[in-house]
Amino acid sequence: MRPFKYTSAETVIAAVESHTQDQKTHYLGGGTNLIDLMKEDVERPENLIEVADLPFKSIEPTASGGLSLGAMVSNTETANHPEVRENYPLLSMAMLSAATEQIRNMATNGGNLLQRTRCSYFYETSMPCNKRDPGSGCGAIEGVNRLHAIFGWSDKCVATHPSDMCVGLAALDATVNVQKIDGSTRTIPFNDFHRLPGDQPEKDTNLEPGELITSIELPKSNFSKNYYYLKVRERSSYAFALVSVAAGLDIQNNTINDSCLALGSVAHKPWKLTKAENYLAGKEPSKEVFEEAARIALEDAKPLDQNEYKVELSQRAIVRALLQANDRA
Amino acid sequence: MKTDIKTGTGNPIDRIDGKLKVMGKAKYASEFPVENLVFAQGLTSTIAAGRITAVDTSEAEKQPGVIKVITHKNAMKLKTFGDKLPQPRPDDISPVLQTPEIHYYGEFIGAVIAETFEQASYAARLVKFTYEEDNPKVDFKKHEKDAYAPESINGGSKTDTSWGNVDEGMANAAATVDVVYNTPIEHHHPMELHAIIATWDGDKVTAYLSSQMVENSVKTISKTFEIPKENVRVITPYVGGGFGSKLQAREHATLGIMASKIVGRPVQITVTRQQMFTTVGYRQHNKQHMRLGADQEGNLTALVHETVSETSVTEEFQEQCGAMSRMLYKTPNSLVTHRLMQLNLPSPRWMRAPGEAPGSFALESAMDELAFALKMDPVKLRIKNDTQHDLSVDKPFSSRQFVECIKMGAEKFDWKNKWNPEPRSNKEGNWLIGYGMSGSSRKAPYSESSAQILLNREGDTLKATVELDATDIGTGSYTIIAQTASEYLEIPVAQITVNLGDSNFPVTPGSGGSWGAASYCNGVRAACEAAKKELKQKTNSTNDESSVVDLMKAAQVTEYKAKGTAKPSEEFENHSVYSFGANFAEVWVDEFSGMVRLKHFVNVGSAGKILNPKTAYSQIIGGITWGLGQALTEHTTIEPNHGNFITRTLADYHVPVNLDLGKTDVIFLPEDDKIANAMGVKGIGELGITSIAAAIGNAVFNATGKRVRDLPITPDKLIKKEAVQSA
Repeated sequence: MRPFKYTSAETVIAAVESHTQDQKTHYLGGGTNLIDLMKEDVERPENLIEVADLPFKSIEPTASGGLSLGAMVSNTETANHPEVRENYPLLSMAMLSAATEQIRNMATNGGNLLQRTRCSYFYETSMPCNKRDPGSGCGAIEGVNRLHAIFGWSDKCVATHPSDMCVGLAALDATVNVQKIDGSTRTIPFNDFHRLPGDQPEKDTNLEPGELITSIELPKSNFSKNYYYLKVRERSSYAFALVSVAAGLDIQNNTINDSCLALGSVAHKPWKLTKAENYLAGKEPSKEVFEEAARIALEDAKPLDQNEYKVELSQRAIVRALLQANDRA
Repeated sequence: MKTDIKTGTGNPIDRIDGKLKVMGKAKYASEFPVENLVFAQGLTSTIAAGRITAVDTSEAEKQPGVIKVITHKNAMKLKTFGDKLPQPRPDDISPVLQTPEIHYYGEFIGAVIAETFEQASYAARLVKFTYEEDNPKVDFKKHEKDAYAPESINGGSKTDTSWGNVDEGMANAAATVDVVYNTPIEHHHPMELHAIIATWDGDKVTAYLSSQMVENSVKTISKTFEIPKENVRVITPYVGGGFGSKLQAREHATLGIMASKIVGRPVQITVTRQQMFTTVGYRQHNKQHMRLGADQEGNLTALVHETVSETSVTEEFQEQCGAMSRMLYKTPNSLVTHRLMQLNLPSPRWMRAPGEAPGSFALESAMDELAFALKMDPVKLRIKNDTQHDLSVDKPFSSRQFVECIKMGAEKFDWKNKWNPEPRSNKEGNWLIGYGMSGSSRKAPYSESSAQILLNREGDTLKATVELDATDIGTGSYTIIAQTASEYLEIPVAQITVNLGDSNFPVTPGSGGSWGAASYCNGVRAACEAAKKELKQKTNSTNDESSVVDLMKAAQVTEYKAKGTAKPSEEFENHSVYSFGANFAEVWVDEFSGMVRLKHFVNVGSAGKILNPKTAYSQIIGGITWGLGQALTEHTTIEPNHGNFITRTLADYHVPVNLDLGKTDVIFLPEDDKIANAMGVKGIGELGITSIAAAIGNAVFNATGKRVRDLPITPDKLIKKEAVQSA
């Protein structure tokens, strides 16, 4: 590992003020991804500001009937929190399908949003990768891309976002509260938090330099009864998804009043399926309706050489997740 | 007087070294407290073909703590293979840094030596190599046409064998199978990283080396550095897994010993997990073309097994994929061939059950396909083609309970009531349920092995210390050796100390190839028997009931030393000595996602005397887990443009997790085979993985009607829109 300077921030102001607002400084949460990346020489920060002790460690109801998840609360604590389990079981299910118990114990909510792609080209420093080394090219486009994006990729980058939690948050229309460097705050809708690669794949999110995530807010949800998170993967645990689906249905009198739907591991960001959600509204739940929603969801998919299967697999997974969600009642 | 000490062989006692291990007190190679120790970090190539044209070490050398940077430019000159393309042997030379030429991505090209591990690994990133890059040859399909017949294949096996006329056999068959199976590159990843601490004292080397074979490591080091064998000491008391990757003192060992010579201090080098993908061997990609024919009753009329594999440009290695096809079934017409191509990849080497692991997948899947074509129960097809004579070498089997294994497994699994020949006939919700089985066999090798014992008597109490250079690679060697001594000295295990893994002790063949337990336990037996015989002579005793402690009392000695050696008999050489087994699998396949879950597995083995049912059970569970990985999750992917393995961490390379393994029954059939060796012991390490993947693949077919012939069976392959077969 390269030498770096470590400081532990005791206050938010101290944290943001010590940020140099450039690539050389990183906030450190649980470190489950950043430390790995430093060992691999992918991330080369000169300064680490530990923020795990900052006072964003609670999970509390919001005035508007939602729930606020502190950025420094661990994934384990969040997934098992009574309020989350009761009102946002879809999020709980997504979070518990991620990584391992040990990693979830360490990982923070804020850090989960900022984890980086697991694209092998990104990790292997001898390979070209525009995300790690802008301008060096994308090795995966012409190389091995079985696990890569089918939506929203650019000729600069075909990587996917690896998080399960974020698929749940995208489906549930969460928002992200951040502290700006000048002390002010702003709120970012979840769908605007992560970026598509475009010409700047090195930028995963729309956070400005030095901005610190303080909490994630969930709106009031009607998806606590009919929900399912399906993660299709190559082994039962400790594997990133081939594709994953977060699905929630709000069913009133055998009619879909509202739905939430997002795909994971198919794009540079969690892939919210707004068109499919709109289609589902007002329909009677049935396999045929779910199949049509899945067809609509994948209409715009553009698979690469080796991941054509993800289109079919995503459709099947959507249908299956919706059926499971529907059957839950 | 004979007493039942309850810790002799056959008792399921706990590991005698278990407590040391869970307390962290068992010392592994990199953990020995050696004074004045410095740390080396290996450097590896980042191109797959070409040569180094320049090296810039200046930045690295400036760093605090850095002692030396070694590359081909300033390396010790070592013996090399020259222009010869060697077949790997675990006692052969292991040269490194002798040329600027690059043969594969991830080849050792240097080392940074520093005062601390952190300093070495940081400075390692600052060494800059400039290359002249050639186009790497890494495309299996493209270079398949260049495949040639090597003179011999792994372990001296014959490249080609044949009898009868397979074309006639195929033409006369009532049903045939003509299919191609591909098993991908797979990696063994023992938990303990490969490591060495090397020290020179004058022209003598001491190496704390994670190794499966002490004697061969001594020979490799001695030959590589051209020093007498007596000048090399290898110490490896505990080994955290080997799986064939630690059979030889590989390049990292040479690098560590060389570095120690150059800097004049003890050097520790640990191979990183990423480097283990390229520097310690792996299982090669095997493309296996199977042609089987049978008459209406299921008697085989022809069996053809043709394998094409890849090796490196530096070594010629081909595992004997056709080994099982040569001896498991009775066929009047047989053809087994092996062909090899050279690619710019690291050298494939031995990995748990070389030959059988991939070969059994092809053979036992093809047998299932044949049974399906014949509309016959696959259990019956295998029983029908049993043979008590090894047709490939014209020798009788020393023992063969293949049919008994199948019958026992079928009964335990309730095959008769569960299995339905029609695929997709069993469904629960979204899950398709399927059943599959396979037969297995693995050679039970046995070779010369020695041991020494030191006996200490205090009154009526006898204590013994057993010493031999055998290794415990996690299998339980300490325990079964203590149990052997317990049995032959008639004292409880608690009174026995076992010392292993030191070249100062008598020579054994080490652990690997399933020869360890049989060989070294018989060596220990021979030493115990030698002690007893000598003491009897000393006391002129004719009483066969006398125990060793009785004899020592009669001889009025409190200390006694003895040595013994066991070796294969002529009868052993005149027989084919094998272990046999059968596997039964129940899988559930999610029809939507293509995810496969192993719900139940029954493994039956007939492998001679089971020295310790508890450790043997663990070893078979490990084998099944390996087979499960081979079937469903494990594959190493080659980057087509750069020639590296793009799966380069255990996050990319998926070994199974606990949750993947369902209910598992392991059964050993009693077997008394004194032709195999005096104790009747056969190895089980490789039998445990053999044919596991086939049983799972056959069950997936039974569940889904889809035959995935290219492993692993990942969800993407099962959801492909293709014809579903029906009976």
